[in-house]
Amino acid sequence: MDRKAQYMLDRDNPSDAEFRASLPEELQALDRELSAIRIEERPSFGPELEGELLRAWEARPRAGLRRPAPWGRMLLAACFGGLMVAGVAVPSARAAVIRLVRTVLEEAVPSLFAPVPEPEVPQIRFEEPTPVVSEMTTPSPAIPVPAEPLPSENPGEFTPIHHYTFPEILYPEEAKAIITSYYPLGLQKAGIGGSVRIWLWVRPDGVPESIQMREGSGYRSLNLAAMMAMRELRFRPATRGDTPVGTWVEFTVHFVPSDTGGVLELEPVGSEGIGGR
Amino acid sequence: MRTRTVEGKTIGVQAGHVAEPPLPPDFADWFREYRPTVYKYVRFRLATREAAEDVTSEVFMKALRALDRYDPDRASPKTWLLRIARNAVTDHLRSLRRRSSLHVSLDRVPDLVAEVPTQEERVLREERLELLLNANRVLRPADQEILSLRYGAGLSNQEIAEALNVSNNAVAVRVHRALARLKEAVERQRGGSESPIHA
Repeated sequence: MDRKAQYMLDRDNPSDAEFRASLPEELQALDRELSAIRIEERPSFGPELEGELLRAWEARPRAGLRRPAPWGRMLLAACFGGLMVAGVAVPSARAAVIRLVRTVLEEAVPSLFAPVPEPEVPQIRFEEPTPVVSEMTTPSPAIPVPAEPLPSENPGEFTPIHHYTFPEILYPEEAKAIITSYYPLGLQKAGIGGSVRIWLWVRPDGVPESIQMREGSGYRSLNLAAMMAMRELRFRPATRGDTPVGTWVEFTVHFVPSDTGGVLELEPVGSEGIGGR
Repeated sequence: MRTRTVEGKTIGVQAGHVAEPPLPPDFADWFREYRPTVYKYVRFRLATREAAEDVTSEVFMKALRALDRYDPDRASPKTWLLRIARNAVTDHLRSLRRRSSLHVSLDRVPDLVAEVPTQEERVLREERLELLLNANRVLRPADQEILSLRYGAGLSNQEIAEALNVSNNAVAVRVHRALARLKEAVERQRGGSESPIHA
């Protein structure tokens, strides 16, 4: 930097002049030497770079640079937004909008809606019930057969015919509330419901011990909700005569979406295809 | 007519008459006004003119892409561009460290000793410059940074303070210390030692 440039710089920045003066002499010399380095661009560098920038600016949509959306795209976005608002605001239109979105998404991302394989083994399972009660029996809990009176443990002895009862849900209203609480809110709002058929092993004390899903709803979260909820229910146990016994029992849980947040129908299927032991 | 204000100047853009301006008006002004400063800063920190040109190009490309994110309330355009330049230089040096040496040799500095009257003086100046730049490169990054802003980009202490978001006094102290370390590094290089200085 020549003396004139130095003078101009110091005049414009008096604090810099003071700073230079405050440096020790040997550092002042180094400061002058560094300031004297002349860095000049190659003359054609500026125009070349400006050309590159121009090309990048002209190609900005491909390069990811922003450009105002064209009218067509904005109109389409406005229509879609209106449809979404209508879908949210009008309950009767909600299911239609959900179906539309689902159809569009299915077209775009088929893998997102690939059928979920139903679990062969129940997601929630307690220990396999041990045959603690021998009054009622079946060849296998997994393949139930209609209940039959057991032969007496002592062959030849007279076996009285007993009256059987199957498990019943205690406090049905509370049970509905429990199951409703497990109904996924997102599915309720989306108007998605379904039925889940479940087998329960109900112990002689009325507590469900083993849960198996026999038929799913097609939605993994609904299946899980039904099984989690059933685990919390309490039952009046099956009886043989006057004695409480453990038994398998089948329930179908219907999740029905509604404006009030979901209604649930509980449908015990106690007498068909159920075996006790 | 649509107008925009850039650095106190009002720029008119006639809607409908002229095709889209080649570059955004603000950016075109900044490019012309601050490109030399950015280039000089980058050149001071990098060993070759080619590297400096590459990094300067990268700085303005990045700035163009990030133009809509620039906030005039947070920094002046010059400070913003120099911030991008500092990051770009850091990235470049990091990649160089993995690949090759940062050592400056005589054949890499001819563009820095232009306008020297005699050939003999030119050779002497080149040698001295080589020594200074190599000494600068063994300083710690913060020292290199502040010396490059002051003697490369030619910023005043106040401008450096704005760029680094520190006080004027802090800049004065840092430059003073960096100069002292540079002097020490020059003397070490003369003595043949090239170990980094970490005072």
